Amino acid sequence: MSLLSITDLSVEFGHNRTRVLDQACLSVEPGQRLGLVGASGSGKTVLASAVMGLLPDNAYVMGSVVFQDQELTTMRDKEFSALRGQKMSMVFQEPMTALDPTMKVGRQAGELIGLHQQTSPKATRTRVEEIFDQVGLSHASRIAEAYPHELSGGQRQRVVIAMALVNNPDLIICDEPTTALDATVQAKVLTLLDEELSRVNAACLFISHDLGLVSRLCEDVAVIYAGRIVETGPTAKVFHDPQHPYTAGLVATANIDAVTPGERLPVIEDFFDPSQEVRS
Amino acid sequence: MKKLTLIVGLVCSGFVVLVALVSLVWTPFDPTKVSTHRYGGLSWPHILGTDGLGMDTASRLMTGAQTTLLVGILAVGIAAVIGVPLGIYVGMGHKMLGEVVARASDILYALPALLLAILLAAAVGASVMTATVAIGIATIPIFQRMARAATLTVMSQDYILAAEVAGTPRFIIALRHILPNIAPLLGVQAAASFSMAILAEAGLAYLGLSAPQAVPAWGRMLRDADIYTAPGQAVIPGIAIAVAVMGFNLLGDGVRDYLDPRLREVR
Repeated sequence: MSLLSITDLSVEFGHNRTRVLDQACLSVEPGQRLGLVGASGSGKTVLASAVMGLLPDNAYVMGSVVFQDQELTTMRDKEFSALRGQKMSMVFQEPMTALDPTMKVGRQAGELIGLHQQTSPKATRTRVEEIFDQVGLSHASRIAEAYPHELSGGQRQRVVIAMALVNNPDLIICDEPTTALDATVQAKVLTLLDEELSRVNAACLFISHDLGLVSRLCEDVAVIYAGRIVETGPTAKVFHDPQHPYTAGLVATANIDAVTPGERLPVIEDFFDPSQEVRS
Repeated sequence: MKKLTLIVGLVCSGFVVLVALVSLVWTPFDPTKVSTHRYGGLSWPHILGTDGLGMDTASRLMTGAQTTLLVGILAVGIAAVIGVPLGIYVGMGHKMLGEVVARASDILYALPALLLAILLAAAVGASVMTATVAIGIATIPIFQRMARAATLTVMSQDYILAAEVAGTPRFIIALRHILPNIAPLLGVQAAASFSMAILAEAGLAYLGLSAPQAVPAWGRMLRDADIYTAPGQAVIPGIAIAVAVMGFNLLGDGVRDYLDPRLREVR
């Protein structure tokens, strides 16, 4: 039984029912890491929001999202709240805004534990320092006493990852978790994410537009284009032998090293004509 | 320059508070004791003279500071306690209710404090309390709007989303994440509204819609002063009101500059 299975999930917005996600089907097994790649506006974040139940009120959701044998699309807020943060958690893109500037980070992380478990303040504190230590924040007790603006970008993102891991969830959704970081920090954070996912054996839905990151972290990948999932499969296979022309375009445009100097860089349109896709 | 605002504000408002505190334990004379020494000029022992009923102006001025502070605290308190939770609640969603509250705010905003005060005074009699309640009610829309606007800004931040994702109840989000983040703005508004309330009460007292003559209050002293026989009696409470209003206004501005989010990071 899959941990998360999404069947024919469509999302429409507003009065004129603009369809931004069209009959998406995906499944994530326990411990599996699935990359979700696509251009900006292709529906990646909407898909993640639908899974987390974070869509705005003007969104219409059709289809089904089953997580651990529970249907999420019809679940009531109260039950959903108990599930979120406990069994599934999320790592955000922007570490700058993902932490409350008026609250010490240790307290913020501790709050997440207190929401789902009955623990003493001391046990909570110990757990917070333990998890901070695990995500490679040296002097965990000192960091726990810091406000977000006193930490660097990399440190902040480590805190955000620690907060996602603190309740040992079964599924972690990462929405472009390294986009806001510079290249060296990005590599370190990715390595950390890789190690921690293996350690706690959590499944991961990794949303990104960076094919390199996805191929490093995920064994499987799904490619989304204009609200449709156009291709799914093992990462190596999809990237080496893309079946859908859009995927072929994505891979070719990402692989700039293969272009001989002086030649024109490939664009997606070389491989794929969007106007034909819409009609089909 | 920015610091100067804060310092002048602190000194002026601090002085008013200090005088009010001293008056609790000591005044030169009983501020409500009537004597035959009417319209006395500036002379010993009545250093600021006496009013038309022979009451000591200095003592009344000192005790009047208490009234002034009480009016400010209560009026701002009423406005904030009702306006802020309403603003946060509406700002966190609830579209239908949001419209209702916004329109109700507009209506209340259009109703001047003066009219409310006249209504209340007619209904239950003029006193400092009715004037204060009227001012407080008239100030609710300001706090409600500010809290709503600030909440909307905070709601778009990822940490609110993160808290929701983590399953935090909405009430806890409002209390622990939204309120602390909008508190600096509200604090500045409170200081500004404080000085407005003082001025409004003085105005109402001058019109006879607040303190009766026996109660020492600056606005009332202004009303009771006879500008032909003893012009000083009008000038003195006038200066006191000006100092208090300016003090709390500058304090608010100073605190705002100090807490400016753009300067926050470097502080």
